[in-house]
Amino acid sequence: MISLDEFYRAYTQFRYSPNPEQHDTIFPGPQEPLFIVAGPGTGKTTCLTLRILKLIVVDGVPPNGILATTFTKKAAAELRSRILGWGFQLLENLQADGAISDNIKDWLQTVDINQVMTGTIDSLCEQVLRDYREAGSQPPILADDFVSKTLLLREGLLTDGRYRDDDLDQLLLELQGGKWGWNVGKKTNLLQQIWDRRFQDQVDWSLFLASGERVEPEFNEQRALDLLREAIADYETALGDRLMVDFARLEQTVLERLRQGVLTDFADQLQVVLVDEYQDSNLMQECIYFELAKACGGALTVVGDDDQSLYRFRGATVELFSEFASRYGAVFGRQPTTIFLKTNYRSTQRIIEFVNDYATLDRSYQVVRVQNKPRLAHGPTAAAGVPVLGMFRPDLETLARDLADFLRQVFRGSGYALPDGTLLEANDQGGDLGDCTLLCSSPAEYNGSGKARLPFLLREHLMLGHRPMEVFNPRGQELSDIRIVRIFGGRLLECLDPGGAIEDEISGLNGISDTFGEWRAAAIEYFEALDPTHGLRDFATGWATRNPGSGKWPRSVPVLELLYGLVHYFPELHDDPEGQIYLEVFTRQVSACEQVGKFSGRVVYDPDNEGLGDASVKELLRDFLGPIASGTVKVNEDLMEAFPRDRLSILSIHQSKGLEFPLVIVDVGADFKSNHKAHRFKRFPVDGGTPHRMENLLRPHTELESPGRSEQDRAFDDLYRQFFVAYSRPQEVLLLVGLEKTLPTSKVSNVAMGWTRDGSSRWHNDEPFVEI
Amino acid sequence: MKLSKRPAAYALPSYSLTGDLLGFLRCGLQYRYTRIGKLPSTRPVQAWFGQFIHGVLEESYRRYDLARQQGRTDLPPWDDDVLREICDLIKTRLAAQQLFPWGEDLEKLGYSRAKSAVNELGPQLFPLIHRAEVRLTGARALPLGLIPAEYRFREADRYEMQGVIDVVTNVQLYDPDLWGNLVVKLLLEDFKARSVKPQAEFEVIIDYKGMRRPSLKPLDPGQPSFWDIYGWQAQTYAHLRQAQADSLPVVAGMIIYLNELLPTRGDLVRLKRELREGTTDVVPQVGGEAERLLGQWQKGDPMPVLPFEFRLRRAIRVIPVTEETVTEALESFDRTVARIEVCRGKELTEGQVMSTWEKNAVDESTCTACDARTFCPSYGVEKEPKLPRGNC
Repeated sequence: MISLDEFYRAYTQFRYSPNPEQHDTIFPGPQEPLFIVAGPGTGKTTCLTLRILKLIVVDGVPPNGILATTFTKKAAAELRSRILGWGFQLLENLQADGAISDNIKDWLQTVDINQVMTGTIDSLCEQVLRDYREAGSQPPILADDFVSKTLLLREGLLTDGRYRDDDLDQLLLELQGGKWGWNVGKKTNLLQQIWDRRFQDQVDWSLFLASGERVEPEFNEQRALDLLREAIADYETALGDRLMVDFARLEQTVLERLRQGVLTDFADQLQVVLVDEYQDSNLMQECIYFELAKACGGALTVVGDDDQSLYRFRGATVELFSEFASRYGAVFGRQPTTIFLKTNYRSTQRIIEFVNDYATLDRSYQVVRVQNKPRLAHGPTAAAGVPVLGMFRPDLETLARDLADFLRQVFRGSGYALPDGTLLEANDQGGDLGDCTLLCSSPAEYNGSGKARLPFLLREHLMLGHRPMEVFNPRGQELSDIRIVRIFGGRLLECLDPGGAIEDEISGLNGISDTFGEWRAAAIEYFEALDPTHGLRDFATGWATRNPGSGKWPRSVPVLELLYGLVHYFPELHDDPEGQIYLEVFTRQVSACEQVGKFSGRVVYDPDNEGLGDASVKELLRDFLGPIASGTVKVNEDLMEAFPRDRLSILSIHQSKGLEFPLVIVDVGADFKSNHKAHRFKRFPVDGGTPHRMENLLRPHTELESPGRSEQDRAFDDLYRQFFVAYSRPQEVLLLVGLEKTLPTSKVSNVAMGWTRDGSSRWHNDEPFVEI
Repeated sequence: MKLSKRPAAYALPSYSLTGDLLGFLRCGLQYRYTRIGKLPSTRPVQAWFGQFIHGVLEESYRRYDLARQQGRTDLPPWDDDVLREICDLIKTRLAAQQLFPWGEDLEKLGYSRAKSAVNELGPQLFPLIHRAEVRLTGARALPLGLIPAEYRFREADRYEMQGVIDVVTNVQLYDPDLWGNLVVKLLLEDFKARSVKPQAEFEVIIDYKGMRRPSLKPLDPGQPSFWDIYGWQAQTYAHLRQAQADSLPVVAGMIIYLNELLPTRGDLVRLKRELREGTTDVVPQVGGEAERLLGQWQKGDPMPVLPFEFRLRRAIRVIPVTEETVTEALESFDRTVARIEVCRGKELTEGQVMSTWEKNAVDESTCTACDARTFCPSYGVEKEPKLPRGNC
């Protein structure tokens, strides 16, 4: 093995030397448990990568003894790429180092860093269950989100008309918090969250199901729980019959097998476990990590930042992170070393100062932060930078216009002059709109009532003029509103069910029939504009009438055949990369139908039994096209190339986590014209949301204990975190935008604008931004 | 103040040998649609049989290995009901993934071939197996020299190669239990023919293929044939396997063309033609039983039962692994990766799919199973989609 000095010598030939706090995360031996609290921009991926490489070449840990997990597939790919990319460079430099002995060099030749295990916890669990299964058992088949929702709906809620039951309805409604948009789809979502949390929070399920105490005139809690038990049990059976697991069950199965000691072949090879984004973990995952750590003498390193914990709604429990030291101590009998990474290499001094002040703005929030967390420090070469900017206008139209103008001047013009005379310009070596992003809590172009929002208006304004600029906003529009989706979906409808006679017989399509109507209209209009000899006419008509021209129509045809036949006539779908992404949604839904449908995604035709054929079409309308029309299924964002250089990316704050841009625009109040209670939850909550209510409902039956903080306080905490993430994305310029009504001097209380939860606006007399 | 430029993420592309490289070489456009676009195929016929037989062999080995770990020897041949139970297990598994045999005939053939594979091949192969389903990964330098600058869209300087070996065998030549082993015998014959003296202990990595032994005649002299491509796979796997700590020297790859263990009528017709034309490398021994049976057999006759040793020879292809062959194979893969990266880069630059991805219309069977065949510019046989027709 080589020495740490030799390691750094080889590394610093192509990268900067780690700073002292980063060094503290690297040099401890393999057996040392570490609790790394890494602020934004402090280089945690660098630290993880270096620690792993150091463990291999300095401590001699075999690469296949190292397991590193992250939260998203993209993060896992990035970590793996760093380990391999830097790792090989490092090995090359070591081989060229004259001071290292030939023996060691020979040994280094045998080191296969490809063997390091990296991935998300789900990919890891799937791999483990597949590779380490017993003879006679089946490897797990993963149910995707739609499949699990469909089975929950059908087997769980529709069976025995459970969805109509008043008691169950009341239980779920109390979790939802309000009747707006209340429908069976929302009930299914809640059921899914309860199911997920059953495992994520390690709920004592039978205790929970027997805990119904409230008996009121309109609500019998125990009865509701009884129905819940049946619904969940039926769902579980439906999954099992199909040899399927969903993500929650996948992880739970691995945990059970670890505890039973049947995964020793896997666990025994582990020597060190490292977990990134630990603030987004849940109790089940903590149990898995602790089990794995037990197999390697407690060698566990966790990295994260509680201030960036945004996933409570997906079952994350941030306290597992902030209290890691004591939780680890209770199990392993010793304390991990706590290391704070505080030097931010991403941002200018001014932005770091702003972010630090924001983190410490609200007194009550400090109580839930990791104890003794230091303020972020700027890097040694960080420029002072320009002040944080603010653009506030009387109305949305003006805001969009001025913001577009600002972007035009920076990226298409000769720069934007700030009040102090500084000229803000794009980089002269290929700088473009891709260096900028607009972050919003939601990037949707329209609100629920159909009114245009900033993302839409900005897009329009950017397209004006002689040098139009485009945006990249994959979540801007509802999939069902996209032109080619409407025409294609409508054509599918008209081929399967011309005129809608079968559709009319389906009950429970809710708002979907309106969308189906729009689709059909779009398809018919498109059809009528076609040349009379166009091939699509004959093909579509043949399908619609189930008449192949000569010969007979088969008894059963996979709907995929219709789909691909139509695709022939739509180059927008088969020749355009964007269209490919929309097409994949349709084919994915067909696969889901095959998995959950009685007719397995086939169109049945029997002239002697029309009802049978109709039933197969009904199933397709409900399970294939319906979920696309209703917005339940979305595009697969993994299929998109990330962030085009020549467009402005519009993202949700959640999407921006882990990313950085030279210029970041944050929408802090483009939606808020007044103190209206409808949007209080986005800026100054009166009470909690569904995730908080879920915690209240289930926590008493877990080892996690009931939440000490009120729902409202937790909601505030989450909002501060959200804006902390948004504000810590920029490298050089942060621009806050909104309506004038949301300025700190106004009456619209807004966490993003410096309001503390006790109702005072700290920025009222001292705006920390310069208005432009 | 000039803004900085947002750096691209450092992400190494990952290419699986079978899924990506073989898929691309079969046809780049089809690869783009099915693998990158994730569009399912309407005709995954090959998929059922190939996966079925893999599954049966894998499961059978698991049981044999479990018994071995418990100190028992439970080598096939096994009873019909044991085999049926294994086949049913795999069939259920595939059905849950929406994979079905497209007819009863294929299902019966699947079960029969599986029985032959387990009961005839199993006793020879299982005792040699060291590990099954071995995951391989390795990183290589991206052949940037083969990717024109305008199509370079990544920051990456390397790519990751991934694969899974079906079976890794350890052969200890001094082990008396192996002295009658037919697989070892074939290996040693191959070494002798190449004047190679094997070490006392070595490894052979094995890949099962649910297909018949390909003919030597390439479909297109300008393009690599499947014969070549599978050869590269063996070399590359050997290279990646060699880097793993528990490996012995990898001296050969082996492909087992499982269909040869139980040929169909059509297979025999094809074999006879290849023997006539001299386009197959494994021919029956002169004066032997196989020669006699094949010589006599006509298409309408009942199916002959060819001697096991001949069928095994037809099934097994030994691919020698040397430094030179490995280097050549790796370079071929590098070139293929470069081609894929160029196609991706072109698509990003030009914004279109069909004109930017390489197409390969040489192998008819690839095209007839492809859902893009009606609008693919390289395949002219079907110009428009047909309406379904059947017997109602």
